[in-house]
Amino acid sequence: MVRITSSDSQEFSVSQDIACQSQLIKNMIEDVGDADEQPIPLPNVAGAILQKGGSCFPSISNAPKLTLFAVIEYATMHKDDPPSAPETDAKPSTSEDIEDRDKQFLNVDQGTLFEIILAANYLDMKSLLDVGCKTVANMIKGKTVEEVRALFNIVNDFTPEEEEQIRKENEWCEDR
Amino acid sequence: MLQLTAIPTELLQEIFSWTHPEYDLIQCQRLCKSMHRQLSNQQFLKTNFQRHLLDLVNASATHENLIDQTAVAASISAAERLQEMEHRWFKWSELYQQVFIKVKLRGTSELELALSGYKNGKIPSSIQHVGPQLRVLNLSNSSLQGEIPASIGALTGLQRLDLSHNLLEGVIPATIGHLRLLTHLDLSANRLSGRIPESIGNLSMLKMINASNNRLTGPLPNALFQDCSNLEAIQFEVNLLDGSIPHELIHATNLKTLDLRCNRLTGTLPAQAFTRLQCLESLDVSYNQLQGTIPTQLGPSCPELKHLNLSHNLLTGEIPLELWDAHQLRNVYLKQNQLYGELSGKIGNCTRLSALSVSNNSLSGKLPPALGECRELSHLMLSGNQFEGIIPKTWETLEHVGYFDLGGNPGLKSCEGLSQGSGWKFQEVVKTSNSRFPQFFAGLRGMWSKGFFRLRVL
Repeated sequence: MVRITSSDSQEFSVSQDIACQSQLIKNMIEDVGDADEQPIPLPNVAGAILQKGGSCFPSISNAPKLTLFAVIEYATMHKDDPPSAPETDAKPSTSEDIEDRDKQFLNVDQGTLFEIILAANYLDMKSLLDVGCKTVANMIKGKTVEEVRALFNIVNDFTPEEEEQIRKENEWCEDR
Repeated sequence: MLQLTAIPTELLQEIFSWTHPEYDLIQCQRLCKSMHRQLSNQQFLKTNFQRHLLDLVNASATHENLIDQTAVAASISAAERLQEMEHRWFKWSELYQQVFIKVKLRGTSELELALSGYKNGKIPSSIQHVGPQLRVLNLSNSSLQGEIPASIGALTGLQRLDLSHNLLEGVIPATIGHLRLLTHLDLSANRLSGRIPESIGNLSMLKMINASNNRLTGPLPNALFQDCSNLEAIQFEVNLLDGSIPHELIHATNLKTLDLRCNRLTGTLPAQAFTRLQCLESLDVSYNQLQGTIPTQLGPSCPELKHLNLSHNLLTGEIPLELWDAHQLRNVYLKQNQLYGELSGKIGNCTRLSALSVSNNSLSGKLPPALGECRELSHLMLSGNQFEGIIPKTWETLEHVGYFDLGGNPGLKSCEGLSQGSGWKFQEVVKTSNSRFPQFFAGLRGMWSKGFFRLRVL
């Protein structure tokens, strides 16, 4: 078991195969562990995560325990996945390729979704990062600029002139 | 709550890498200023387009050899998107072009693009990545600029290479000699300079080579003719080539067309070479500085010869009688040389003759009555010589003549059987301006009154 602590000092105990879906944690365990698979001194690992996270990614260090909980939930769900195929053999993947269980898992509010993406990026969990980004991409795809603004609460801070300028720059895209 | 706009750039770009580069990504630059800043990074855009295209590559690779409905549908959809991409080829980086070419060529062996209208377009050196499966590369008429990349030599499967009618500069890369399967090479109408690379001699499959209308200098490489039995057409006209025409031309036993006009070639015509050019149909070496005589071998050895243009050179001697053994001759241009002697009556053998120009030489003697046998003659230019006597009555059969010039032959008197004409002399350029010259001889009197001739009464 590996003990990890969230930024708000909540402690979680997870098995090593689950924790090691995070490349970051895996590297840390490898750095401090030894070859005969003895349990890693947990407080050191957990502390290292927090310390590093705290300095580099403020939003992670402030991440509510729910985010880490969610990440662990995802990792648990995927612990029996086969290791991902090397890049060259990978089938072309599109943003539509999301497993149903992941869809359900990521059916959360925007804020949480973004937190999960940030956490996945920090913890270096590629599959979770991909599926999170795909989910946001799917929210954007096929929408008009106005629809995307409305969906994500984005305020248009362009003057009409500036907007026209950008539209002109991208004119070649619109003659389809 | 965390907002989309607060997501770090690298993650934002990760998200947008899953969207369509044009329909979503480019549009979303307009969301707000911060999004515009983060999504306008050129490198990111390029990478994103590249990734999108790679997906298409993979998709078409997956479906290449499958025959089921889904695969066909997917291929069609990919093809449609490709077509859309095609005309943007030159808007993006080499990387993008490379991917594009790969996509374009997946499952096909030909690349034919009409990319006219794109200024500053270059042939990407990454074209080598297309690989040896490419058989035809046609980039003609595409306003391409810059040099021909040496990497084009990697396309070793090429059979046809057409880069004609562009703005290409620099030298012909020596690596072109690697394209050993090449049968057609067309580099005409560009701005290519420098010497023709010797390596071109490696192209033993070559049937047609056209590098006309460039700025090529130096000699015709002997190597081109070392192993050239497949060559049917050699066109280097309108360049700045010097040196002589190599005797190795003798090896081009299947040659039909040799066009070297408008260069700076010197020396003599390689007489011996013509003995083997039995297929020769067209020979044009006009506007050079060739010396010596017209080879006697030309007529007997080249029975298929139809078009002969030796005009505007420094050729001397007589027009060999043997020339008129080439009975298929249609067009004979010998004007502006230093030829002398008579125009032989054997010319009547060439009954298909349509144009004859011997203007501005020193030919003398009487006009051959036998020319009347050349019933299809439409252009007849004999001006600027020393012809004398009268126009033979037999010429009245030349009813198709539309362009007729006898001017500058002070010794010419009049027309046979034209009694009133006895007091007339052909002094200046005598031309007809209509395309038909019906009943040339019989109507001659009428023509005068209609102003077809410009004559001076002495």
